[in-house]
Amino acid sequence: MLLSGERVRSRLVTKVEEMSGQRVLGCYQCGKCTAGCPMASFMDPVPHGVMRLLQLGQVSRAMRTAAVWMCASCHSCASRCPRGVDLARVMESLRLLILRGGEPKVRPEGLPAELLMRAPQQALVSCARKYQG
Amino acid sequence: MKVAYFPGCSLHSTAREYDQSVRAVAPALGVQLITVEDWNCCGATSAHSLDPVLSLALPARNLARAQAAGHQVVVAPCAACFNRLKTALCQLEEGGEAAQTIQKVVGFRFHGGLQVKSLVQLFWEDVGVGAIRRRVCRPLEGLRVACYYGCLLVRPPEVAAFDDPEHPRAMDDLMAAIGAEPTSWAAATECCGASLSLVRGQVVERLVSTILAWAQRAGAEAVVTACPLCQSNLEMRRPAHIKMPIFYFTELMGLALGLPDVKRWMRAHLVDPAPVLSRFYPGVGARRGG
Ligand code: SF4
Ligand code: SF4
Repeated sequence: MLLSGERVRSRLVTKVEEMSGQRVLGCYQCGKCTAGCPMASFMDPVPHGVMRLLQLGQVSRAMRTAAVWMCASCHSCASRCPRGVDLARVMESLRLLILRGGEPKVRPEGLPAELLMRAPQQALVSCARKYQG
Repeated sequence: MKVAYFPGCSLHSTAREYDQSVRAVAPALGVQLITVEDWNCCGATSAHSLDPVLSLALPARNLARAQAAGHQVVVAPCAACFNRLKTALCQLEEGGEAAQTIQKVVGFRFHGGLQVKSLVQLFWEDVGVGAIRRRVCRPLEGLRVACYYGCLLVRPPEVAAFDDPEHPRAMDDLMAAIGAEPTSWAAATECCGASLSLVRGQVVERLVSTILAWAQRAGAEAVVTACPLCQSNLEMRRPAHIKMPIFYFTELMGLALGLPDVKRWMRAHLVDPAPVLSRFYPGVGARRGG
């Protein structure tokens, strides 16, 4: 891949930075976020890998990662990052970018009825917010 | 002590036993709960609000109602509601354009001087461990519990601003006050998978089985939580061979305080609490969907 100033500081990177209020170059790739992420084993790339993609201007690739949807917004990464990067917010901004661009990821009518009966209300609300914007 | 009570949606649906136990335990400890009149959903966003106005207007409206009723403290038993209400409070206190817009959208003027606390926090900071201990009439001696804080009770630390985000002990202190033995364990602040339970059940099953395995390894007989979603995930997504009951901290407090309705709350549990609790309360048992 050919790196260039424009590629790294693309319009989308600026958008992610604006939405999340985080500077992607603030991350120094220590991996502490990944070390504590409960979802890391279901992600490829892992959280600091997503940050790396963003640093390289690869926002579209970052938007296609499983990490974006696997992220449970547990805030472990954000509360532990030695550089004060709030990765939970970065993930949220990637989800919003995707949702604003198109279809909701999950439709409530597609969920099993038994689950909808049993799950606490807050799961339904936050699930809808996460997957439908 | 009078406080504004924000029950939240879950406590009105699947977590009714949490609501009932909260409403019984608080007055027994001298806390008068006054439900926020005409409260609305806190919005339960999946992460921080990226659009502060949209996502904070909902919780801010509840703060406006509490302020109008002259309250100083708003207490939320649910960890997620606590997080949303507190985030809204922080934004209002910070001021600036976002705070102005939120007040305009909601149609109120924020005066300041309002506090938002989780119920764990209120019991720990304001009621106090000593006062709780003095009221215990049925100490849960020898009951080994793993206190599970999960994410939103203590994180993000700048919002929750309560206890230690990595090694919290408030709930452990409350359990010790009622005679139980809180164990030291590794998964106290791990994530249960939250709403991924709806769309990625298997992933949550793996997380839950790790959490419960840690609890077992630490010698716990039960897990104690303050969050309806943690409670439901841990019971619903557990591996079949682990039959560990998951209690709301208020349920065990109610038991230790000798409150009459304990049996009713316990009926709603998916995992029968009888094997763990019958030595303190003969006849306590689960009946599905009760
Ligand atoms: S913990 Fe912070 S600095 Fe370290 S890799 Fe993660 S985001 Fe970057
Ligand atoms: S907020 Fe998301 S990325 Fe960060 S630790 Fe939790 S699950 Fe992982």
